[in-house]
Amino acid sequence: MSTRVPGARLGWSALVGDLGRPSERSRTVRVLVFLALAISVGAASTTDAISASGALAAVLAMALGSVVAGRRRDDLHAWIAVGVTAVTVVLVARFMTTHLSVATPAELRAPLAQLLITMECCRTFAMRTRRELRFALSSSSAMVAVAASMSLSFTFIVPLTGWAIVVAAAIAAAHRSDLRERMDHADGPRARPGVRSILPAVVGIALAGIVGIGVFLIVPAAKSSRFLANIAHLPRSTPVPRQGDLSNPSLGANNPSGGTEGPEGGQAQTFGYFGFSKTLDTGVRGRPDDTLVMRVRSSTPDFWRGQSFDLWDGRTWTMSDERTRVLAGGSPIQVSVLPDDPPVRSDELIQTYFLETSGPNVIFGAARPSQVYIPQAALFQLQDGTLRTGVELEAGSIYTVVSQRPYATPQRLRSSGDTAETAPEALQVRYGAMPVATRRVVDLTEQLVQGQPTTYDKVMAIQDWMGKNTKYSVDIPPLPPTTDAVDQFLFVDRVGFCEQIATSLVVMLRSQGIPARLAVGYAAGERNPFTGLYEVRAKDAHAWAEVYFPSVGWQAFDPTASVPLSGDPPPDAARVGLGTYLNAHFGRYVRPVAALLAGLVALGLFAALWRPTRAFVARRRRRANATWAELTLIRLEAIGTKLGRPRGTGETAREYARALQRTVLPDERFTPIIDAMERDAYGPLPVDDEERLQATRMLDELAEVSR
Amino acid sequence: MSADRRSDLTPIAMRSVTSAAWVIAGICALMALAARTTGSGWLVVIMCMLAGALAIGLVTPHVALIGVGATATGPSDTVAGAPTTLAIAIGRPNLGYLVRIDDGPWTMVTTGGPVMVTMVPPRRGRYDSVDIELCCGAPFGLSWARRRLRVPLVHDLLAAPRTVDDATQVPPASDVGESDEHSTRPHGGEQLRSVRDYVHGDPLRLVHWPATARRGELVVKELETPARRHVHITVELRGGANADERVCERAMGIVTRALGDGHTVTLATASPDGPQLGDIGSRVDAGRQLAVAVAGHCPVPTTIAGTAQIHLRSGGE
Repeated sequence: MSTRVPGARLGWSALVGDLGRPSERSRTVRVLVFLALAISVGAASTTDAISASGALAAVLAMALGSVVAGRRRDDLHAWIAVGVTAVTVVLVARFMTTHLSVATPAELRAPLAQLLITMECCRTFAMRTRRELRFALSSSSAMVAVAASMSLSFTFIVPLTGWAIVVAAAIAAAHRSDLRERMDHADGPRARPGVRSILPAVVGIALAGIVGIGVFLIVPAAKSSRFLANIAHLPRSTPVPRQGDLSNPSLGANNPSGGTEGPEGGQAQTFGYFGFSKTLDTGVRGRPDDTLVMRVRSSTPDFWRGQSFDLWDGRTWTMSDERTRVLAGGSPIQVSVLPDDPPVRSDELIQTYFLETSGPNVIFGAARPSQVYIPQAALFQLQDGTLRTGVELEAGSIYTVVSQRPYATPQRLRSSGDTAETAPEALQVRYGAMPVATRRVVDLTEQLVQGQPTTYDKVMAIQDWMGKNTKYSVDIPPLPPTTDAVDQFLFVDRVGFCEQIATSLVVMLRSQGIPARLAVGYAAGERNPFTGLYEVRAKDAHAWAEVYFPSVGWQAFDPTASVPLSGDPPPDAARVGLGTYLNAHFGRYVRPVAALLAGLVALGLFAALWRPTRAFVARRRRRANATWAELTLIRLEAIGTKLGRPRGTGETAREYARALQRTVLPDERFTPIIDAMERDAYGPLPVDDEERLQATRMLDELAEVSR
Repeated sequence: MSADRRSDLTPIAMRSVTSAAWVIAGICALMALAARTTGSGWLVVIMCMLAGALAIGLVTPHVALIGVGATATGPSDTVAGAPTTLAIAIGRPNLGYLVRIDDGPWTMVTTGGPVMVTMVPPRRGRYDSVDIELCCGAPFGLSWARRRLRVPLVHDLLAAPRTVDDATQVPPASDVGESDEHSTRPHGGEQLRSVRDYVHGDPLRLVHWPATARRGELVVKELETPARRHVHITVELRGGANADERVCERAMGIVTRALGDGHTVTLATASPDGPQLGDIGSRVDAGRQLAVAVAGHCPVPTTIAGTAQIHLRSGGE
């Protein structure tokens, strides 16, 4: 046991650990704790909480501290503990005065990670006892948690898995060390280092992983709170050419603001969606790719609306009114309620948008945005309620939108009756007037909505017909000139993508006087069950129909995508999307990985069986010509080896039996066995069968005991 | 432990959750709270990892002790109160156990072979099993489970009574009777049988000087060793555990002294198999017979001239 160190009774243990406790003697525990700290620092560096050089310096400092604390664990000077305490107090005080009063909780994460790393760099020099080492593991978990809350990428699984394994191994090693410490004496054979000694830890870690996966399948999903999730960040504040105007650099030369300063020198980006413009030509055939456009943190999927169109000319959508109003005020910016938004019961949905590529300066948002957290003094609101910024939104931009989602259920929507009659007149004029449409489109609509009492039922009837008679495809023939896009889609091609389908729905509804408009934005995207984020790609760019209901306001409908109504219970489970995500991203690795694992298993089996097989063959050969005495000695050696005391070189049978009796198996039957064996081997006559039988029986009993 | 004591001992399991487990549970709760307020999915993943480790850490020690087997072996003979080493082998040893007998010191079991565990038999008796206490915290030490097991010994362990050397002496050969614990000192030393002429090589101390003076030539003594006396000890027990123990301890002392003085000893006791009358060749023989002595009918020895009789009787309790 260690000696007590100076200062053990001075009551400093609250901050620096118990100086009077015995020091941790296991080098394995110390190494694993250092690794856990190093990995957590590395994890923090992947999320920009700390720079790479800072992380390297921190790891080196921790390594030095761990070595010093390990070597001086029994004579740690009190001044080291005092110094560590003093530095800790100064760091915490500085953190509280510098950050706590000025930053939002979300902005505290990076400074908090830096504080924890710096504190641990100091504490490693005073990590002496097992309790202090365990505290270091807790600190590393705090560091990893802070990093995890900042991580947006699946690649975080690498440091996280490594950290989890190392921490579990450290806890298991500390337990072994604890076992040894609890043991009052050690007369028995000591644990032999090797695979067997670490097997329980390995199995325990594997089982913990399996149970962890099981827990993951049943726990609820992460959820955003307005208090902590109000993240906002703009890497640069580059003003758009005209304030309040639409800008979309990703369209290159087609940027509606007239700029051609796109990253590709005026060329449209592969992910540039032509819908984020002042017009939407349904004759244009775009094919957005898999480029990751943005990640969205939201507790439920929805359409991330960017803008809407109200004017249809048979081929192209345009916005009839581009006037904007300025929404001033600091973050969060309050969004005005539009006159046509009825004051109805609604749920709050918090969405944080992490832009991965430069895009349009529109603020995406589900349903009715009510607040926007963005480091800007003002936003611009269009007449349809959609929002624009006065600056370019570049890759790395982050903003948070708080939306009100009216509580919409089929019953509630039906309660609005026929909105062609119940909607406000202004909306009727702007969104419900007879559109440009061919006669047969109107006739088809009349036929479909015949007998449907409410707008909701009419929408459902048209959607059903479209689902049965049209197909979704991004590979459609070009639209002939002067052709009505809706007529071409419904009666000629009967194949189209979201623009054709949503436009047809809007036009058909308007032909019945029902207020409807075309909204463009992004579909929810693929949910990453690990990050909890929806990964929105260019191909998720989407257009859908929005229908006005006096009971809830604008409600999205889309025959091509399944998006739940706000009244539907949200999928509150962490596992949502797990199978889809794994299959999409790792499905192609299943077969090669399975083949690799099978190969490794086969190799392992071969390696595991090679030595026993050779030993077995050798034993068989040795036994083939052995006398009874030799066979008895072989069995005795087997018993001794099993008990951890193999026969030494040059050790006689009697010496070996005595050693066994003295060290590993205090049994008196060794003596008669050896007597019979020696007389059989060296006596003038071999022992008789009865004596052999008796000795063999005793040997059997010893073997049973040793088993 | 033995058949005649601690029969009320039943396997029990004691559970304790360590502070480390509470810390991990607290971190889990914090992670869950943070995940439900920040919306970070990774925090849910970390929480699940920790919850998995916590669940395994809490459950495994108890599972490890369910149906765990053990074997024990040791010497055939020992003495009450003397530390005795037993070899105990535990099933699934790699999980890591602590094992002890009674309140003895803990010994760590982490390998396949048996471990040496010290046992101190508190009383004489035949031990056909031992009660061991197993403690397991595998694999993370987040909780400890304890269990007591009664493990049969591969062969019985006979614990002889302690040796109490009191004032009781072996009576003279002429004393024959039923008196309790009376004793006289035996006639020790050699006796002169005759004299003879000196032969070259005879030691000088054997010269019989008076006869030499009378005859004028060297005459030496011929000495005769006194005959070995036979001591018969009857140990009659009444069933009082402490009183019986004390009587057996005294009987052991008398046997030891008698054997040391060169007497032959027979010991009469009652055993579970019936009356037992045995010639005692060594202390081990006496210990074995006294270890299993119980209250009952003792065999009556045949009265032989010159036999010293000692009758020890417990007063009962």
